Amino acid sequence: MGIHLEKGLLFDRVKKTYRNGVKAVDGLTLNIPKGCVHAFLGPNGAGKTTSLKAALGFISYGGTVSWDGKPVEAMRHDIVFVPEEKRFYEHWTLVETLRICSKLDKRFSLQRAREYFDFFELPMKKRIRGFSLGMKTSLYLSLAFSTEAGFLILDEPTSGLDPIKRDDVLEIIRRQVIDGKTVLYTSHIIPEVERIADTFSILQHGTLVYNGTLDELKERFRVFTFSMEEWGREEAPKGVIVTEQRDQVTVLTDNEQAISAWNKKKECFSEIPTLDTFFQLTIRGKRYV
Amino acid sequence: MPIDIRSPMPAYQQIKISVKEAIVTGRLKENDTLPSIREMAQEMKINPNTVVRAYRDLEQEGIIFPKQGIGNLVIASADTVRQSLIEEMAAELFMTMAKLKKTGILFQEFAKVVEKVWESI
Repeated sequence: MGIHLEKGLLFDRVKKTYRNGVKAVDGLTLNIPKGCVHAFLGPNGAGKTTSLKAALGFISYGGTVSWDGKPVEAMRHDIVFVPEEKRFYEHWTLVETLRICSKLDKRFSLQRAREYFDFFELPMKKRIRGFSLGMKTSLYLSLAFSTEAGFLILDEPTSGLDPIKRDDVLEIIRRQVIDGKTVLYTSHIIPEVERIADTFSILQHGTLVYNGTLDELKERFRVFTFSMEEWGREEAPKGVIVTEQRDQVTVLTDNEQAISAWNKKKECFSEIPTLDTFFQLTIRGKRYV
Repeated sequence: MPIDIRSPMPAYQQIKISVKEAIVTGRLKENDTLPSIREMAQEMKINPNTVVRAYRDLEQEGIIFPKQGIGNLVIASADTVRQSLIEEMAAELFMTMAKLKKTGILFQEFAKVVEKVWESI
């Protein structure tokens, strides 16, 4: 079937403390299986970019990161990265870019890169300095999609793109997975993540707070809304995340007993969380474990 | 038809339902082959892993059977799939019904509306 849910990327107790004492990543253990699109979510400062930098070997860190069972440092040739800041060699033109890319990487497909440039309607002879943000993003993506790397790390890969191109890019990312590649993806645009991520994880204060699939979320979790008064009569069971807003209490839970009891309760309403609701409640809420 | 990502129904379940619908309506018959995982992923605009999960479930329910070199064969008849299709839809009805029940609406009142809507289709 060409689908291998095995090995992939493994963060094993990864830690990073910056010189100023800030613990950016604090013991991250996470497996991203091969052949899936995994989305990294979290507020600013949650440790997403630092984790990506560790996976790319851009920083020193504690713990290990492996790709396909081998230390990531030995697998660099199989990883391609599109950074959040889209600053490519500004004085180059695309003609020069292609010449240099094919020299640097023997497996770089010139033909495919030209097709993507065409698709994104990028001018071949204009200096990159004069490109808009959307054009720079398109350039990065064109190059990333033209390599043979099995693992793509994409940091905000749709920034500056118009809605039509954004849609196309999401489909191209999906196609990468159908072709057997693995994608690690970060974005602040949750509906995008919802559209293409197989699995996602939420990071907060450098630690992993959730890792799972969107389908699991819809199956297992429920959001209940209580009035403040009604909630006061409840005893918070284990495995709930509680958010108080004005006179309402919103409770996110996968506690089956609580779900079936509250489903029967007249005074509270339930819904199936969207990824956005789930994310907001997980980050803002108070946890009872 | 692409799956509806905003639907509260899990994506894998939407795939299962679309296969079951195709069997019940006769678009897929016994011994027909399902689209390959790749084709289905492209058609439904979903990742292959989700299709794998849906097909595995359908296999466990005795609706399809993977035959090497051929693909996933439909092995259940339309009649046997009908009931499981309705059950699969129960989750979809749950939220609407819960909302109504909690406002104190009686089943008989709800049933009347269901009948009316049913007739209008």
